[in-house]
Amino acid sequence: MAALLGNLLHKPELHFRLAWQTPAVKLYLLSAGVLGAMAWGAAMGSHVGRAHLWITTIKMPLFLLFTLALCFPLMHITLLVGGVKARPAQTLTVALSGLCTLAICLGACAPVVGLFCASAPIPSMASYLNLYVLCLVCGVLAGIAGLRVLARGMRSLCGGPVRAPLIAWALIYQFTGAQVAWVLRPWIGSSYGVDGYSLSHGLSGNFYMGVWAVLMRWLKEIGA
Amino acid sequence: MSTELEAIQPLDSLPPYGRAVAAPPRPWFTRWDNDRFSPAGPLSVGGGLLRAQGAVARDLFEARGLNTYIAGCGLLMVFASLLYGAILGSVAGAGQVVYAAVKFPVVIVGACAICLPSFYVFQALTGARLSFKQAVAAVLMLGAAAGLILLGCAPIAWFSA
Repeated sequence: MAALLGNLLHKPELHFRLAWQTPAVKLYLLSAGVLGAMAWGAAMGSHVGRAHLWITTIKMPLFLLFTLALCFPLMHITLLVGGVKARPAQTLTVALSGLCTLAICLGACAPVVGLFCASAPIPSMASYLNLYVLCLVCGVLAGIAGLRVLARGMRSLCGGPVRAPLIAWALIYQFTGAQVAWVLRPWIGSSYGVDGYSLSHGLSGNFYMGVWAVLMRWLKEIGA
Repeated sequence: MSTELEAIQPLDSLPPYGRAVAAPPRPWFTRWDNDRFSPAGPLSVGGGLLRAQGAVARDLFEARGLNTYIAGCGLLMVFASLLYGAILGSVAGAGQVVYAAVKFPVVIVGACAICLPSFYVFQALTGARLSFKQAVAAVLMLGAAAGLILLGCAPIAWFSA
């Protein structure tokens, strides 16, 4: 597994060349991704602590995998329409490689985020917002790293330009992922100590309506 | 008005048409290229870090003597920060000497340990291609350099406090 992860990080071309010959690679990618996501989830959950810690640890890999499961058919179709002739198993390998890279990057940031989350005061809206921005920055960095690996994987399948399917994949995953994350919230836990997860809390509204409501409230506040 | 013609530069010394002239190397790069250092043992690593950074960086990238560097930088990091903590703590009384002497190495070693995973993953993704052992050595070098600089500042900090 260490060798596989070394290839994925250091030499993605070699990783994909090996992955086409060895179907078991998918299992290793899955396990590494789950471990990375669990570390990230534990770091975020450590802000509120107690039950929220282990709930977020379990929720994070579920969030990434459930989003992938929802998006996979559309992602495969996009790849085919974009001119990349791939079998579903190959699409899954590329998607898992990107997701595994993302999760490993998040897992690598987990000690830093965990330190800040565990030491931030509760309740404090300022510290909650700071943690939110920190997690967002880490997420964006990890997303960029994941996209780079996805691009290498697509290129190893078709050899040509892959910009269109890559952008489509990023948009599909982001669009769906935002809603799944909304349903599975809270992640960091509110500054007032939300402890645990409640489905009724998650199912109220959706991500885009939530963003719209925040935007309207903000515009009202500034008197626009 | 002078009628003397300027000397013409020989053609073979000019770059081919359409190619940019290579910029002269920066003085720091020249200095680092000329650095020579081979660690005699873990205790001599500090000298290399201060006097021959180029040679130390070459050893790091070519994975030469990594065990010596890891041991040396680790010891240097702990002892330099311990001394700095003790000196700083001495301002506030005997009890604080021990407390600060323990705290400072914990801060520096802890910071290195927390940053190591993200350093390793992101350097790999951005193409630096260091192995995990090389990444450990690089992070410890950072800690050792920080420890040495702190130790250098200790008398000023003590005097100012």
